[in-house]
Amino acid sequence: MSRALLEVKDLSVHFPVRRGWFEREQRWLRAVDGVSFTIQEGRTLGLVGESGCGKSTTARAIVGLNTPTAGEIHFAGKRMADLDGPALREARRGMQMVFQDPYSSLDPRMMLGDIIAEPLRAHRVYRSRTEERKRVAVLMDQVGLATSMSGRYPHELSGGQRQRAGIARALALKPRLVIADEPVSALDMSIRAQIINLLGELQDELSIAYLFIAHDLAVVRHTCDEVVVMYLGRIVERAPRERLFTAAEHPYTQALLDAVLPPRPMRDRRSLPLLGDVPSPVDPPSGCAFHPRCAHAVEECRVETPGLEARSHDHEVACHLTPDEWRGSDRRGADA
Amino acid sequence: MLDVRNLKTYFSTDEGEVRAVDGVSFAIARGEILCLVGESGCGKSVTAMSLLGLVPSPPGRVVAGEVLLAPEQEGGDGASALDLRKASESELRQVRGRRIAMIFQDPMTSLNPYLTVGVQLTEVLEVHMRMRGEPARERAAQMLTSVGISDAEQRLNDYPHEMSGGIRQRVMIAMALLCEPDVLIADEPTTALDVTIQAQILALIRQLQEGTGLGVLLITHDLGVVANMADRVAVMYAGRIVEQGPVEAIFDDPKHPYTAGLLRSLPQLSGPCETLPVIPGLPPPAGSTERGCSFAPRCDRVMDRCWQQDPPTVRWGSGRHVVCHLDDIATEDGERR
Ligand SMILES: Nc1ncnc2c1ncn2[C@@H]1O[C@H](COP(=O)(O)OP(=O)(O)O)[C@@H](O)[C@H]1O
Ligand SMILES: Nc1ncnc2c1ncn2[C@@H]1O[C@H](COP(=O)(O)OP(=O)(O)O)[C@@H](O)[C@H]1O
Ligand code: SF4
Ligand SMILES: [Mg+2]
Ligand SMILES: [Mg+2]
Repeated sequence: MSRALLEVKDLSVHFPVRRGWFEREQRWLRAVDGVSFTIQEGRTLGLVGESGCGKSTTARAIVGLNTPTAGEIHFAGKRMADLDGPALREARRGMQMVFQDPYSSLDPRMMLGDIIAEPLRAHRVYRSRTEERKRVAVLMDQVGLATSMSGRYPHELSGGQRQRAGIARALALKPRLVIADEPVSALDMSIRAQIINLLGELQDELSIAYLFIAHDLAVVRHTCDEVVVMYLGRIVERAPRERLFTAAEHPYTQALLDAVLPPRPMRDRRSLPLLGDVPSPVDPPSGCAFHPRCAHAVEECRVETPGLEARSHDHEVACHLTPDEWRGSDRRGADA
Repeated sequence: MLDVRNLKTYFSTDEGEVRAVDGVSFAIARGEILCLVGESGCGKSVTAMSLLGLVPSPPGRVVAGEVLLAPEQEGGDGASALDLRKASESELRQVRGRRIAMIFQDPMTSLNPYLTVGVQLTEVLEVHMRMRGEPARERAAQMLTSVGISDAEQRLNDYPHEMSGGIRQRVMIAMALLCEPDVLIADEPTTALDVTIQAQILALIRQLQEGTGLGVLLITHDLGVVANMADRVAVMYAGRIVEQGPVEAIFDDPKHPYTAGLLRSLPQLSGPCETLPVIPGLPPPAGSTERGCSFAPRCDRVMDRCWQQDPPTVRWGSGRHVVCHLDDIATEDGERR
């Protein structure tokens, strides 16, 4: 039986909106609004959705870079809010982040070896330089960087090499959870596959759990055991990988899947793309926040906010309709 | 419509000469979408800039090649093609915007943040079409409507920063197509957008292009975009086109080991979900290979001669060609040159 490593319970992160001249009331941007999920030891959870839906804010709240407005984060059985001092430091060591942009996440004035050693130094892991060097060499080897590169600066590396360096640094403190925020989005095609494979190998080797944030569903399918789909700060669907990719139950998930362009010429496959933009999270639409863009919305969707409900023991959906009800119906244009 | 032959653009840098575009040839027919695909740094943008004489100089220099633009009226009075490389700056200014329009990944590079969209659109009409005042405004609004922007009249008064990325890209497209150009060059127009918005923009480009004679050079690094949009494909690697042909041929039967390797390595929504077969190593900087095939260090089928001799170009009647030493690439009708 696998054990829960990370539990996010009812997490909300609201940001105050700068007030205009005549505004009396403080308005809030609900970046994350009541999000719950669990990641098991050594497993990968994918977090997907269009930009601005709250993926990074969720990640930042987990590692303590954003203060939750409400909700709890439990890591390795401990409630993060209960921890302070050395216990908090210890818990934070167990979760590390890898960012999308390897360019901005590495200090340009530091050499590669020092970048990777930095967390080791911050946590005073080794007393001797020799031990530290050995560990850095192991890390570089694990992520596929030649140790001869340890004297290079970030600008002397390619995007893929920088991302490898970012991963090595995240692994330095032997975390049990790595939160990877769009780790391959900025990489070239041939390098993307290399990094996806690397993350998989590292998981097999070190049994790390990942929270894998991505907007590319094909990448998510190749990396994740379970997938959570977010829209405007809320979860709209959570399902095991195979289920999500073969039997999605939320129209938004289906729209995201339809937007993926397969690398196969198929002139007639084209479905109608999802219309419109993501609305502002300051002033979200009534009812189901997705209803203005949903091709299947009915009156109830405009009025009533659907809760996230279990459709089976491991599949949750926040939609008033079942796939039987919405598949094959496209109401767009009908009521226009 | 546009015929590019043996284009070479070099940059002089501290480390010596960079052959960013090193003998690139392709043609775009009327009403055709050609996708130029390759990984970053392979020379796609420099190719596009070279066509329009926009290469920053120094350090850049178009050192060779022809860029032939067919005369405006098809089968007209026998006027010959204009070689943009030999054109004067004023001729080029006429061509840019009027006959060849360009859009970029970041619309803000071509939109002025301090002017309303209406002012910018009508300015284009004034410069290229001598259209002013109310008719220009009407035409601008009509163009916004045709790129799927609602309340066009209203939107003319908006500033670019008041719009979402997707809407801004629509405005860019409207601006590019205002003067009904013959060729649209789109350099990664959807790379910065969400997949959902990307789908909208691609559908729009196709809708605006279908049935018109507009030729499109669509630059992308995304093979999904290529499969969905292209009539023909040119695969670029390290400053050269290594494989070119009709879209079905390229995807169904990729012949160059780079094209084949890329297609195998792509994560997909269906099929097996195991370790991805990767191309090892990194793309070299464009034009850094002195001798032999620039893909040799990463190629799974590399042979001795790949390191020593420049690979030959194998051509088929269908307009397909592959630049590679492999013997099995030449089929019956493939001719080695
Ligand atoms: N520090 C902040 N202050 C105010 N708003 C923020 C802040 N961080 C994020 N946001 C807003 O929160 C929403 C979610 O952002 P984010 O989590 O970055 O989305 P994603 O990572 O899914 O693209 C966006 O509307 C964003 O503008
Ligand atoms: N201003 C410049 N100065 C020097 N070299 C340049 C300049 N612009 C581009 N290059 C070179 O040209 C190559 C191709 O660049 P580019 O066409 O922008 O690639 P792509 O668009 O395919 O990502 C780059 O590898 C770079 O070395
Ligand atoms: S020429 Fe040789 S190295 Fe280059 S792609 Fe063909 S087989 Fe591979
Ligand atoms: Mg983000
Ligand atoms: Mg480019």
